[in-house]
Amino acid sequence: MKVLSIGFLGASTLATTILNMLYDLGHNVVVLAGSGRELVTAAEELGIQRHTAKDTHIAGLLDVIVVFPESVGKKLPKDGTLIKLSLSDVFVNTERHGGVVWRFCTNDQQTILAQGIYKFGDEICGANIVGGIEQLAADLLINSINNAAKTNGLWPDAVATALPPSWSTELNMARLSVWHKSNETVKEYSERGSIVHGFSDAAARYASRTALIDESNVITYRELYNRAVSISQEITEIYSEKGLSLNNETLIGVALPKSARLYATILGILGAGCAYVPFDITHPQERLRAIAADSKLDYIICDSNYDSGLFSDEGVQPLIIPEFRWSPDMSVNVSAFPSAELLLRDTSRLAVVIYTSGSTGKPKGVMLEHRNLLNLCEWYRHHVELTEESRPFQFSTIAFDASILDIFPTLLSGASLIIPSEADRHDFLRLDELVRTHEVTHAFLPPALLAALPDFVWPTLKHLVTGGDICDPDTISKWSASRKFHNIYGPTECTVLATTVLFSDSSYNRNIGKPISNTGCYILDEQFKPVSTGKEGELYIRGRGVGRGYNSEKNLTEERFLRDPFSGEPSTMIYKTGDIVKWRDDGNIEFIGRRDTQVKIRGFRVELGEIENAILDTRIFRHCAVVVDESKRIRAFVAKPYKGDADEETVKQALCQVLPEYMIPRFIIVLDELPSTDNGKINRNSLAGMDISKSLVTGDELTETENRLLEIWALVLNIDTNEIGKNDSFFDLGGHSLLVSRMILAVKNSFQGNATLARFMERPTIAALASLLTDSTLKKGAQISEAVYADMILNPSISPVGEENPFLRKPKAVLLTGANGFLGTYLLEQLLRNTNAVVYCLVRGSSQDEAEQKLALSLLNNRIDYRVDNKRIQLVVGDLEKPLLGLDISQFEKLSLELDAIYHNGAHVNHVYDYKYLFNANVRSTLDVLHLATHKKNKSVHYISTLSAASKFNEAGWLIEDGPAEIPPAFVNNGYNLTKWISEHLVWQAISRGIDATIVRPGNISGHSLTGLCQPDKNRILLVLKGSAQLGIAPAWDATFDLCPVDFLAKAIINCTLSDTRDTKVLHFHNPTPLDWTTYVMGLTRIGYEIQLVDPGLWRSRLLDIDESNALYNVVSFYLDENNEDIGDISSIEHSRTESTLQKVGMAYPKKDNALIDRNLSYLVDCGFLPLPRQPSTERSFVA
Amino acid sequence: MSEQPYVSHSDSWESTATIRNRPRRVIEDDNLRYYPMNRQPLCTHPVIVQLDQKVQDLILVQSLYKYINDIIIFETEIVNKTAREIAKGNFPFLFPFDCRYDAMSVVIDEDYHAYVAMNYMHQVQERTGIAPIELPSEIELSRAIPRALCTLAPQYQAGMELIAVAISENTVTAEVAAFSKDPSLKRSVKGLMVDHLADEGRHSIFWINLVKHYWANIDEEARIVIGGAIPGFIEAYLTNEIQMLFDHRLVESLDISEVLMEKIREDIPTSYPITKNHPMIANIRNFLKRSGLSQHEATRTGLSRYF
Ligand SMILES: [Fe+2]
Ligand SMILES: [Fe+2]
Repeated sequence: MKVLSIGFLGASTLATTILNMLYDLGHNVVVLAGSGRELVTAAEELGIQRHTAKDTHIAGLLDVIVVFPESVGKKLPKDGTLIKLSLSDVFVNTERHGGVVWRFCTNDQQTILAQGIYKFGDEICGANIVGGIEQLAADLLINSINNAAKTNGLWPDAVATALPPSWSTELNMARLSVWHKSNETVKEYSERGSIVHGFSDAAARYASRTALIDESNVITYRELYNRAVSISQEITEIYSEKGLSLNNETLIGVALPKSARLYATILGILGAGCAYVPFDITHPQERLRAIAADSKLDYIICDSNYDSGLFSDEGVQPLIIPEFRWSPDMSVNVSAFPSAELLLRDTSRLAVVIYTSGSTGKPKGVMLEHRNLLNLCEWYRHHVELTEESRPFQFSTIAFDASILDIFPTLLSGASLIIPSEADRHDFLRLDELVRTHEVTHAFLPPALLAALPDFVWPTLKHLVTGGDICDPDTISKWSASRKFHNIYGPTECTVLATTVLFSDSSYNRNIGKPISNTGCYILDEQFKPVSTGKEGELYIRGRGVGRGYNSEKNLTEERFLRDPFSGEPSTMIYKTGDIVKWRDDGNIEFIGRRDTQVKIRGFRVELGEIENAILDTRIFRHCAVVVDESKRIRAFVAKPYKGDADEETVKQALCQVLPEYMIPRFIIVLDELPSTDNGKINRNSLAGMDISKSLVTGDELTETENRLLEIWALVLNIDTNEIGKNDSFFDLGGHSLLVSRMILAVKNSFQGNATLARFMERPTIAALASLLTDSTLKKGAQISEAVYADMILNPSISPVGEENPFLRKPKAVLLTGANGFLGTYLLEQLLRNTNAVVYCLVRGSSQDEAEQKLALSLLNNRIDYRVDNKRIQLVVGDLEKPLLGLDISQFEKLSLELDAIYHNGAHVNHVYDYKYLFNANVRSTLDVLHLATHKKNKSVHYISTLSAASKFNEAGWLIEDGPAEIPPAFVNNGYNLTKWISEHLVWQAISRGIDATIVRPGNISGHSLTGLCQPDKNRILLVLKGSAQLGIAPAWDATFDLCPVDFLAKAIINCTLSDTRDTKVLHFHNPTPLDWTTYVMGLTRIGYEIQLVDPGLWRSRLLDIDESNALYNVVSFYLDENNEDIGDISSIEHSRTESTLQKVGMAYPKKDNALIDRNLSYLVDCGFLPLPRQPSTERSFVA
Repeated sequence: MSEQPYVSHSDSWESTATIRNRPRRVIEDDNLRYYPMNRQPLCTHPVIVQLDQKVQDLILVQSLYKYINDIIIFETEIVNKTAREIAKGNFPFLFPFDCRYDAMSVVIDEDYHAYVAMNYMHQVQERTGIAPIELPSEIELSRAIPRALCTLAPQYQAGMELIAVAISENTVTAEVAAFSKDPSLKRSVKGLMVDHLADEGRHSIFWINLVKHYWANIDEEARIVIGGAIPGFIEAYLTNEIQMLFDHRLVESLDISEVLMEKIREDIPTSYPITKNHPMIANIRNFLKRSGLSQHEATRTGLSRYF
């Protein structure tokens, strides 16, 4: 079967789908220039290169180019063989079909490669049809391409050359995808112009019928009309008196208690051509002030009870309309509204600015126009059969948009609006009485109120409307029993409601129904494409209900009110609701949740509503609300148990049966009643913020390492950090074997420590992993961590570069690390003396001056003849602990060009700290040195190690002059020696790769051969000597003792390493001439100390009692062991190669005679290291 | 449980079987990997990480060889043993003819998968020059199935075998998922997996239907006995022993010092906990639901830790 090379030119989802399918089949696919973003992105994800327009020869490399309808007409490569898709709108016996044709085009010939037809049937969702047509198109093409591949690229003969004429109409897939039967809602209502007009008509027609019934008045339409007209005249007069302009943007506040006067005032404001801004005087003053400030009111209409100073800061003046006097002269219509004619012509005049709570807490003013309200009124009147006989109830506060649904449709229908007082609204019994007395027929009541109301019987109530929140099933079954129970859904921005459904006993409570008249719903995915039935998407609303936007919130308006991309007209707007919904099979819409309340728990998207439903379904509590708190933990609040024994635990257990574990709320809290907002919604914000500390489990404090691990786990497991406890098992959190490797790899990339899989598996928790990573206990031999072994491997990239450097052994420039150390200064001296090289001295310091002073002081203290300002001494400020030896890149580059040799002598000498602590200074610095040695040009590296780090023995048990062994060093397995051993490995590998390097292992570096000068505090053997002197006893160890004067050592190192004839890469620099430890120690007696040699065991036992005053106090742990590894017997250290090298350079070992010993010991006394002997010595004369 | 009539997949096989529709995967000339790092924890070992890239590549290639070898054993010795018996009417429980000739298409697919795998292995050897180390002669199922069967009376063994094969055929998809999303893998390796998966989707439904049919036609006692043996089978199936032995052998084949080898070997986990989060468990759970076995109270109870 042949692999075909197929070019793509397209921009659609279909093109992307087919591209992926053909790629999966194994063909070579190429996206051609001119293709759309989606296709290009898909190609990038597959790792396919995109072709630019310049690749004109591309067609020659392709078997075929697939062209999608959206790209027909785009420029195509010449000479290409094309397969073009065309989609037609086909009617067969009046039934609609989608016709799919793939045409095969070569030169001038066109044949049909494949064709098919898709029947729309009674499918109601355009996106589903599009999906079906695309599937058909894909299947047809894939089938043809498979056939071509089977026949090694031969395409089939033409099956037909022409299609029936009915296939000529192009199918508009974009339009089809957005079509939904439920959106066919166009309905033309009789022209009314404005609410004012509608009301005027009703007032004329039903003049003597009752318009309003409040606590104290029954008011006819004529009375209401006259009062409204007179208020509007009064407003007009006040504005003209004050010289204020009254235009179609003028806002006037209303802050009146629920009474006939309130509605007359609203109508009066509208009649004056203004828009009203409702204030609920029971709301907090803060909120009222914020609204007044935002709406920039001049006047707020209120009554004499109202606190007139409330808005003085906002510059709003109270306008007190006198008490109504319902006098007989009101019995005829006095005159018309001042602006009625104006309004008739301008249906887009602003009618109301209603404030809703924004997610930020700042109220935002939604601007609705007359045309918005009118469409709502007309639809509603028909939908709930409002007539002049109806008696709707006006429960909601006017600050809530549902009030619009009560007020205007009623007053346009000649019906009577029943108005409860504030007191009535909060008293169930009075409510009941009111509804029954006035035989209320219609009402909007919020779900929370319905849920709380006792079982009242309201037989006259034919239409009950609810919405704004989810009803629980109990409420639905109770209130739908003997009336029409309407669930409405819609943001204020779309004029109270956009969709509705009639609830019956068995209705699903998240069903929000279908769009109302002249309204449409788009459910779009994140790419703004319509989704098919059952797929979640965000709801966008179009139609006559879509308001003007937000008052004084231009940005927010632009964010939420968008141009309708699917309508041809540029002025059509859609509103982005932020609600996640889906189409149901029956054409209704199902509410899923708010976009901003969706939470991701353990990588799963959790819909809080789903949990709410599950809780309600358990039938343990009647009411419930599920929220997430600040830490993204799920809280469930429940209230009103069905039975007395219901509690948190029973709910939790029941939920465990039905919900996956990640959806079980962390907290379940029983309340007497769920708190509600003023609008009758459950107050979820207050629940999310509620202090439930009694139920909280305090988390343990996390260390920094644990915190970093937490981040890694969250990433790997794709869950939130706060879902992870430090003692949770990785595997309980959703981890599995594949994720373990990924996690360990991530950990390795950010931690130095030792975290291996096997150890992790023993206890797979954050806490245990953190302790593995930070474990600093010194482990011996086999227990040395894997990380240490890993450090042993030299990065494969380090190897010699370019040509050989002829100056390796006759260097013109040398780098010396640790130049200001004891040995370092003597090495510097020897380099200056024995070569002509410039010596770059790496010294740590915060400044050049400081480093220079340090070096100067060391040279002085060690009595070196050279001064720091010597021209051949070049000071380099650096730091071995830092990357690149603490050099900046330019210094590093410069040195790498100049140097011929590096003496890596510096180290952090410390026998107590662990390996990890010393790693940077002692191991990474070696890596950097080797890097430097192979960067730009080759350099020699002479690595100063130590005999205690030597690790390779011969059969006789002698340490040999060879590279390091794989087993750790023979002497002390402390951190320091480990760093030296690892460094030796790195250097040894460098040698094996052809780098000119040397491992130099000094033994016991002792004082200057002529002066005895040394730095005793840093030498542990001298601490043994001092401690023993203090105790008066010394261990009678049987060992050959090393004394290797520093001046000899330095000279030997420099001469031997520079020797051209040297044939060893490893040099052992102890002094093998004979001297027993005991002889050395007893030298103390010659200078006046009383000291006895004792059995080492006895000596050790005495160490247990020493205090700080003894020199051994800080290092005592090294000597409590029987196997003292410090004072190795140098009799079994190979040195033949070193010795012969020494001979070649004309050097010999100094004798370890009494004179040398005494010079050493005397210096120790003179410099104050050793306490003064009790008896003055008689032989002090040879102090130099 | 009401039984749906069996619908043969022969039509879709004609148009979608990879043996009929897909070109051979050929190794690309690029630096991408032959095997996902995630599937070979050895590559995360601190010592290995420090070694030359070639060592990691070698480990991955050898791991691919083992994976291919596993496929060959699985397809030819496990699935096709049972599928061929069903097809030829030699299985102790006689299935309708439609089932049987569909079973024969499974035999073809599986032998083809084994062939494709061998071909690819040959290509890798040619290109990398890396010869496989000694590969295991068994896979976990080679032990888990006989072990499950020997605990049952003869009349229940065939049923158990059927369910065991059906379970394992339904877990292949989880295996393959690990490959598909890895951008560091060679396209041909991913393609190999995609091709395999394309057929396994069909197989998955086939085996589920067979189990449904079988389950509907046996008595309650048989259901209780066979259902009770499933947990033991799953446990044996999901062990790590053979992989562990292979990893040891793989480490020993590396050109590194004994001490480093020892360090790496110490760190090969002997087992992983099998939790309900394990991707294969998710597939098994799905199988148990779709085949209807989980509706059987006693069977479900025995498997409760996976639900
Ligand atoms: Fe297979
Ligand atoms: Fe299969």
